[in-house]
Amino acid sequence: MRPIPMPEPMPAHGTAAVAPSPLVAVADLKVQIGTDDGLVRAVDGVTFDVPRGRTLCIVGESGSGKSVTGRALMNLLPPSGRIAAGSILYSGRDGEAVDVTKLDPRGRQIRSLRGKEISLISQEPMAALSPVHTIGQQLVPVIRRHLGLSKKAAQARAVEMLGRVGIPRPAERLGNYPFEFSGGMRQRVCIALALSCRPRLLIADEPTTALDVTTQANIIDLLQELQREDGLSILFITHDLGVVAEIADDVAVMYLGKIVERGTVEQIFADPRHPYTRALLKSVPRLGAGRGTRLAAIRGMVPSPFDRPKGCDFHPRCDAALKGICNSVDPGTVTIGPRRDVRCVLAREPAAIGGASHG
Amino acid sequence: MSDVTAPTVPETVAPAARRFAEASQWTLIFRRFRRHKLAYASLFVVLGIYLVALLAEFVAPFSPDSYNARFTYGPPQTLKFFGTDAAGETHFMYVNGHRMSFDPVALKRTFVVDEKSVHPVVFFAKGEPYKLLGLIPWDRHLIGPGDPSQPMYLWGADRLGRDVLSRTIHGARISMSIGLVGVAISLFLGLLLGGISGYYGGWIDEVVQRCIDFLKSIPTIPLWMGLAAAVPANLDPLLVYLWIIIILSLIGWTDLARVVRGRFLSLRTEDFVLAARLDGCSRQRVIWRHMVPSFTSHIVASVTLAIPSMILAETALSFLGIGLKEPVVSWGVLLKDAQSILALTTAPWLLAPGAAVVVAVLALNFLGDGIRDAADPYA
Amino acid sequence: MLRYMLRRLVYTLGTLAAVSVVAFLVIQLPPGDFLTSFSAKFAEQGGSLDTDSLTALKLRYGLDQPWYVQYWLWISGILFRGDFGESFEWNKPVSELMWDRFGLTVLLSGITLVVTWLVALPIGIYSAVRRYSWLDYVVTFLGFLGLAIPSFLLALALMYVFSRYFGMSVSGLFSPAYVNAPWSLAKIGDLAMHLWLPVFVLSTHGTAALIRVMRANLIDELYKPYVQTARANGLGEAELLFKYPVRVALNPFISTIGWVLPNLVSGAIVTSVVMSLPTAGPLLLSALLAQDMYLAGSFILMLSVLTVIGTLISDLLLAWLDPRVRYA
Repeated sequence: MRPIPMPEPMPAHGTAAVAPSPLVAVADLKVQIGTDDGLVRAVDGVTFDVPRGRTLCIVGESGSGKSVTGRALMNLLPPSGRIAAGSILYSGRDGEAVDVTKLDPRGRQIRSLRGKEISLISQEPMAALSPVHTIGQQLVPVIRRHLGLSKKAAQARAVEMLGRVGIPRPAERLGNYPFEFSGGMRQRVCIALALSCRPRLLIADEPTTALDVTTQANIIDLLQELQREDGLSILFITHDLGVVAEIADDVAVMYLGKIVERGTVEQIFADPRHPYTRALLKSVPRLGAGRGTRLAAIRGMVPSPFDRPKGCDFHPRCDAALKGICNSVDPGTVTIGPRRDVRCVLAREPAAIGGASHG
Repeated sequence: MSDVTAPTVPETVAPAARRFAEASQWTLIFRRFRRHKLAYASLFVVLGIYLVALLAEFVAPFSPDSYNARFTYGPPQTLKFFGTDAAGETHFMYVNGHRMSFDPVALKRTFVVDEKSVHPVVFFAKGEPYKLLGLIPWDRHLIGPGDPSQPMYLWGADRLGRDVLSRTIHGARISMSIGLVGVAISLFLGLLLGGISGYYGGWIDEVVQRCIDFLKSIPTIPLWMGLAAAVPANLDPLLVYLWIIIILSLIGWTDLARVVRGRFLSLRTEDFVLAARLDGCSRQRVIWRHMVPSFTSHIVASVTLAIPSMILAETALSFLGIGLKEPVVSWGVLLKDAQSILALTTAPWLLAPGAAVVVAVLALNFLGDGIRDAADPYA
Repeated sequence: MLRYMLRRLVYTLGTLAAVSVVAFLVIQLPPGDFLTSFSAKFAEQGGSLDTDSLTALKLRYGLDQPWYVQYWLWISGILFRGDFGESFEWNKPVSELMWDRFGLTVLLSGITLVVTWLVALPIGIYSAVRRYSWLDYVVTFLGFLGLAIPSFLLALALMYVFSRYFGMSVSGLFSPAYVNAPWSLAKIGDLAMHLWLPVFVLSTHGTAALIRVMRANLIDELYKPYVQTARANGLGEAELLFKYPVRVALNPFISTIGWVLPNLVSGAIVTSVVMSLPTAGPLLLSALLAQDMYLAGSFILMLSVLTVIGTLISDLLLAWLDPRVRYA
């Protein structure tokens, strides 16, 4: 299979060297969503970069705002949602940066980004494709729109893409309906659709959650392969730490609309500084753990967004919470290294938390 | 065991959320229902109509059969306030009398409002004696002419000089009760067949579903007409009433059966039903203690929405003259008088019972819709 | 597709058989056999039936045989000879009386169905897309009102308004000059002039119902992930709306024919009586009232056949449009 030409040379995967200007730079992004009960601050001031050719994982429980963050990058919020503050700078092919938040969400400019520069694959491969159109009917118009190809060339491109994502007999299957594919195959079709116009950023919103474990692994392998070939940047949204370990270069942990910890995957797994990150890591079952060890669960529930705790959002559930500090003062973001942030008053004292969180 | 598995809400949850999580299903439904202003208002309209139907003898100024030949097709009299009669006495409410003249050319009687004649109208007026709820003898009416010998036609009079308002109020009893009784029968059939269909599945389900498909695919009115026409004409009115209800229910159960079956099918696979089964509960117990309570709210909504179609069906049949017949008074029977364009141009107020039909059906539809929306409290 | 069509056809044939049994039942329901009432009617008119013609009729309808033989005689007559029996009220074969009126019923129902769709579809789409706009509220309220007003009441009210304020008589489908005239272009034009009011009256209920169906269906679809996918691929809102969610929501909409058509035919019966339309309604009613059972039974049979076939057509249409049905 012939890899499609890369738009520009990319730094090799896995090297520590980071491109000087990130593909996307998000600064102090705030998203509000109106509900029957009032405004929810779904994303509450997040700052992060998506580096070129690398994978950033956003990890969090449901309701942490990770999906909304992903959609905000395409300015694709539900009708009740709006970007309240912050900026999302996307550096286009011509090197000029566009602030996505400033674009009309229904306008021509953002629409020429969607699908062409930034693509999305979502959680439910079963529902992400129209049930009454064939795969070809859904792929070909998108290719024609963004790449300006003739119908024939667009069809050839669609077949090529289906082949690349590992769908057998792609030319025949172009005329099939989504329900004629299995879940894993359908997610492959979604990936083909998302990558058909050679985007530079892929937002993958829990793409493997609805799939069984084997299929999950296949899809992740496929994404990594496509990333190597195309120099794609991936924003991978998940709650599954196992997946994070496998695919991430960088990790951002979200809790109640805020990024509580950010760092490379090695840093997050080897030296977690935020109590929430530690608790998450401890709640993952491990091979080789003794028979008698209990799987740790984070006590309590995610607070209602209307009823945020005073001080640090996490303190009611935190084992290391300090009375008089954590329940009254917002810790703010503490930068402890290059691209390494922690939202905790104890961020600089790994020992203190380490000791407190034992047991 | 039970205290370990009982779902508990963690301490950290805010009081409001805690109340939400622990509120009973019905409290939640009612709370959501009340947010539907229109549905909530309709609840009171519906209750009001049923109350009027129950106390028809008291609410109506006259009995449905009392007539006054002098006022054939007498037009409605407007209820006015604060008027002085010939004796110089001021009344809070009154109606003007009518002067009648006979037009020998058109062979028509014309009524002219006589501003000078003031007939007082009072609450708790003394009138024809009756038995309230069939038990308590009384002779007071909620509203009526101060002088029982004077006519008072607030909604006009019909061909025989009977009060359309009183007849509409009495008609509510038959029309609204047909809805209730008919839906009760439909509900019984629907629960039985829908439940059997959904619970057992397989070929039984297939047979019941085919029956429903069949019944739904034939136009109801012609079938009803055919069946209703076969009801002997000389039958006792009460029996005719029952027959008509049964005929209407023969079709009406299908929708309810669909709802029941659908809920049964989706519930069958729910964890708590499986748990009850694994615990060794008997089939009866699983159905009645575990499955039925969890879909009563949906049933209540469907039932509420089924009542208006029953009312409309009865109205249509009686209107055509093959449902209920005089001397029974229902809204359809009353509307039959308005069938000819001649009668209609003379006395358009004969359509007034139609307004009652529309209000009742509208209120029941709003109510049913509100209940249905509220029925999924966690949605 | 072929398997699906075959299965539907078999179902339809079964339904048709069941429908004919029900129609026959209606014929049989009135107490006593119809010959008794027939000869009674004859006697009323001063004549009397000789025993010869009585036995001839008895033989023809198999009246001394069990019911299934009678049913067979009746249905085979219809199927093989187009013989629907005799109308005793009119002293004519049923088929002579029925076809004209039945044809107009089909015409009226068909036009009403088309109008219902043409009106309900755009309004339903608008109502769903601009949910909670003031126009949506107006439409929703009018929809409720349309569902609550029985069509005959609407017909009565309109007839009153037209005769009282415009001095127009709006009943019937033809002007007096054309009632008995043979079919001609002028007569068709006259029919068109008279048709709009019955169509308006009859379509009110269905339109109200279908707007609600379309609105609910489309609202269900509007927030589905595939719409999000299309949006994420840069499609514009209008293009996206009609290409995806409207297209998907159309399918359940088509399957509504299954219950809209029976309702429509039912409504047409009552309304036709009120507006004295020369359709099946008034004749069916008078036949039922006079216990002219072969005429009544034939109408009930043919009206049911009409809706069953209408449902079949909608099923096939749905299969053609929706691959999930086709391949199921």
